[in-house]
Amino acid sequence: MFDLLIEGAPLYFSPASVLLTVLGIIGGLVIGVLPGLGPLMGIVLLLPVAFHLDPIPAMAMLIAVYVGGSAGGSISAILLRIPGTPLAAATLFDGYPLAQKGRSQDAIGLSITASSLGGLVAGIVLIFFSPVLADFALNFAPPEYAAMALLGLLTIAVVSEGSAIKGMLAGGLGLAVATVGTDEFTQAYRYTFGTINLTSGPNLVAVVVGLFALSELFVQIEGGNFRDRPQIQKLRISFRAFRLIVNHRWNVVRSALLGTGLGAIPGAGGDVSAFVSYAVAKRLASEAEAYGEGAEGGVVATEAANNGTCGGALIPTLSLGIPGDASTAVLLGALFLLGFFPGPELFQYHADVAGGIFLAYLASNVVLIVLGIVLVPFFGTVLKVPKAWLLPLVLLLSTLGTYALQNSVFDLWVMLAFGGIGYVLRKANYPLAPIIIGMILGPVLENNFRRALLLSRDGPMIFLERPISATILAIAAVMLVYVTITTVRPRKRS
Amino acid sequence: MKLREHAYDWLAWLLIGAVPLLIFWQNATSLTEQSVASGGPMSNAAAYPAIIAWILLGLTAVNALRIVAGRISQHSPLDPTPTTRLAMIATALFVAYLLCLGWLGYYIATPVLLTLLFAMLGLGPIASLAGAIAATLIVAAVFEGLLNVVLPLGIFNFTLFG
Amino acid sequence: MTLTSRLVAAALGLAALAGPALAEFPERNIESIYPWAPGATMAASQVIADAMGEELGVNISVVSTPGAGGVKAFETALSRDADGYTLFDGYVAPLVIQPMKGNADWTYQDFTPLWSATSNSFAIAVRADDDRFDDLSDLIAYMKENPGDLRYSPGVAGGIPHMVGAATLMATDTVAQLVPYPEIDVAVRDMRGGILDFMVTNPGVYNVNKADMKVLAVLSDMEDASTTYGGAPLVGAFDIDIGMANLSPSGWNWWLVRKDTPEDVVTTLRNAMEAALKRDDVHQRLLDMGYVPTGFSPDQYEEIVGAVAGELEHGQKAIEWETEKLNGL
Repeated sequence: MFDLLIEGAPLYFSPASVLLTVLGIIGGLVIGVLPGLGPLMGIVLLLPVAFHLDPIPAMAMLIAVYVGGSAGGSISAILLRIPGTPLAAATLFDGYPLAQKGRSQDAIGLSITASSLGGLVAGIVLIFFSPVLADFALNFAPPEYAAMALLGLLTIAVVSEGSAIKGMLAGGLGLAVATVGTDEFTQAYRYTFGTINLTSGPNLVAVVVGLFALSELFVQIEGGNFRDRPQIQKLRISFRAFRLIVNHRWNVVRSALLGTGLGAIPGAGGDVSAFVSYAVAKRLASEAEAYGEGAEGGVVATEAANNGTCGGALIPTLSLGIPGDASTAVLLGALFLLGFFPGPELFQYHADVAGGIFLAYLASNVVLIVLGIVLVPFFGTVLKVPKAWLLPLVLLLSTLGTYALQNSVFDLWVMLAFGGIGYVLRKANYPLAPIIIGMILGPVLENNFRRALLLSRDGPMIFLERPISATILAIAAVMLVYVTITTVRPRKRS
Repeated sequence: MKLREHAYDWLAWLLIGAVPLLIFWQNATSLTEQSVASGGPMSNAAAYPAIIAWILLGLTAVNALRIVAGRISQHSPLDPTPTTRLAMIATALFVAYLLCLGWLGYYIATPVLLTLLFAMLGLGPIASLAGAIAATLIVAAVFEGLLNVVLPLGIFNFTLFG
Repeated sequence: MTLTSRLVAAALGLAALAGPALAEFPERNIESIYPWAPGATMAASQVIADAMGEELGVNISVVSTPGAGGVKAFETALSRDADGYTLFDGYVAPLVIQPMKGNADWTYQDFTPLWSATSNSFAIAVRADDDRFDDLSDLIAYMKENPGDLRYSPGVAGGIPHMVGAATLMATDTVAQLVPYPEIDVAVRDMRGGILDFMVTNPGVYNVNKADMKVLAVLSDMEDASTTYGGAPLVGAFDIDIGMANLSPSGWNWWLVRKDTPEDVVTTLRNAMEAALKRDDVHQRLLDMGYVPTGFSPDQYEEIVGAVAGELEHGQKAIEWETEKLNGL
């Protein structure tokens, strides 16, 4: 497993990659701190920049934003009782009470150190498991890839927040959107409605920015309070958290492993794993009653878990090409566009690239622990920027970022249209991430499905004749049955 | 029908329900004309989308039953806030911006849009204008100067950092 | 203009005066509209764009505009002004094949050529450890005995690799099951895994996957083409005439501008591109990437592209022949 790191070292350790890791962490933390924006938005806004860079510095930057963004949300959760990202929702339980007791400094320090250490634990699992999984995937052929894409999509739809039906509808919508464009087999124009602009399908980035950023901006404007400057305690740089975290070492490891494991299942995002590990930490704690009143352990558990999820989500992304969550789906798309195909061949032929990505992930977590502590006062200032300034700037960045990919105004209309769709779906409590995953897995599913049929020459039996694809499909079927049962049976909701 | 309580649910239902119909319609027209709507996996570009469409249709039907039967616990009424109007105006401004972008160019359209948005959200006129110009220039410097993107030039064919 | 003076001009509201009439071409960044998704081939175009930009003193950014087999990129570039600030990265597919198929309403004569850029030939490759086939004759003999049993991929269906692959099959009256892959890299994976028996590869993919593939024949009659595949034999060595010669059986691109571009601008661009292509470092970098710089001058355009257009009809026919054969299996 270490050969990968050694091969990746010369690629990663360049001034550009290290500098971009640092900038990525800062950018990610800022975007995570700002309520409403999350790691996904950070990645999306930086995509156009990434395409102008070499592959490894580009991935280093995007991964750093992913890591920083996942950690940053806790800061606003602790200081303002507003989670900067859904990932940090569980951090509220104890982070905010801690801050109320005048220990916001400690709470932030703990959340940053726990995030970083959790990320490192996940990194080790990632480095160990990805090549193993990739090795196994060497036996995969078109039927297996089609089955895998189907399973991945189904899991995401089922596990996402909201009802399973809505998750599946969102995933199906993504699959449908993915069919727009030039058909790869017949070269026919499909659902392009006569415009040349749609012959490569709607631009993924335009769709992501529209669904997530534009709809969020609309919601934010509806929320009002544009000129509020929140009152927060004065923050100083303090390294006390390094001592405090030692008391929670087992909590960190346990939560991080939980996060990694859940993260590796496509669809179970950081928010889910944060809540699960919080519950576990509470049950195992010697003073469980302190949880919810400002227990250090609560902050540690949620933050170690949600950063662990990042590492976990990278496992299926890199080794199978099946993204773990919406953010890794976009990372996967970026890797495609930079000319690399995640999956077994990434490890076989581009071991240096795979190693470089691992190093970028580890380095991001190291940089996080340093900068996260040093920049705390700065984040306090960021939180005081009123929305009146922020919202138009986010709109400008979203617009230019989308435009710059293909210098196309049409893409901006696509972005706007999906902004509207995203708003409606969001208001109707649909999860949005399955749409993106559907769009990315759509071509994988269709191409491999049709390829498998071409290979078999006698219809779909090929999917059941091959043991691995039959197994994957069986799992998918079981999941479907389970969902149907839970959907049909009335269930109580809190 | 609980139209009010589930307004957005119904809107989303219409939105998603329209997708399979679009697919069937295009399969029957455009794809049939291109003669790629029949045959084996190599020559049939319509079969896979049709499967997706049937699945969507099935799920949409189930979802409609769920809304009607009141099995969706979270309501989604149209509940405009005092600032929903502002959000609508901002959207209209952005539409106008997109319409004018190709014609006026980035350097003229962007400061106007930003000034209006800043002012609309309650910043003073001078701060709005100054902020808009500064943001326009800084962002342009990054995209044109560092990333070599050619921003919309407009009829004046103007660029600063290109 | 320096940056400061531009800023001053802007501040004074003189934006409108900074129009193109005042300055000499080029006074801002140029875009080259590239018809495929980013990847190795785009990197080759970027090498030329960078060198040419250095000659001109501005940046040339390669803008990836994939879609409709290259037609989208041409449409995009055609919608821009004919001022020389938008170049066509004129790949053979949108330039010749798509009009031939009736998917575009231009011909190659509707553009003003700069210089030709690169070409890359295609080759038939099998698994490195596949001992059924020592050379192309073995492969053909096997296919004759077992028609349609082997599976092959030329990458995208309908592209030039598919044409030359089908032309080879037609010339030898053999047939194999076609399995298209939009991403040719993935086809290598499935060939290695035993799903595919052979593939039509390009030099870029061959360079990365050398260890896993054995090149049986280079589908070209140009000696240079053999060197990009480590000296593998040309298809002619097996007494097979695929009916396509010179540039026709390869992928190539010729940089173009709109027909109505001012002459002085065209001259400036041509000179810069010539200077860029003649630089040794550029030449070597392209070769290292598996792309052979072709270096045809603008006045050879008519003659060379005209000939290719005719021979590609043959490739198109070969694909139709193959489809019929496969349907008849």
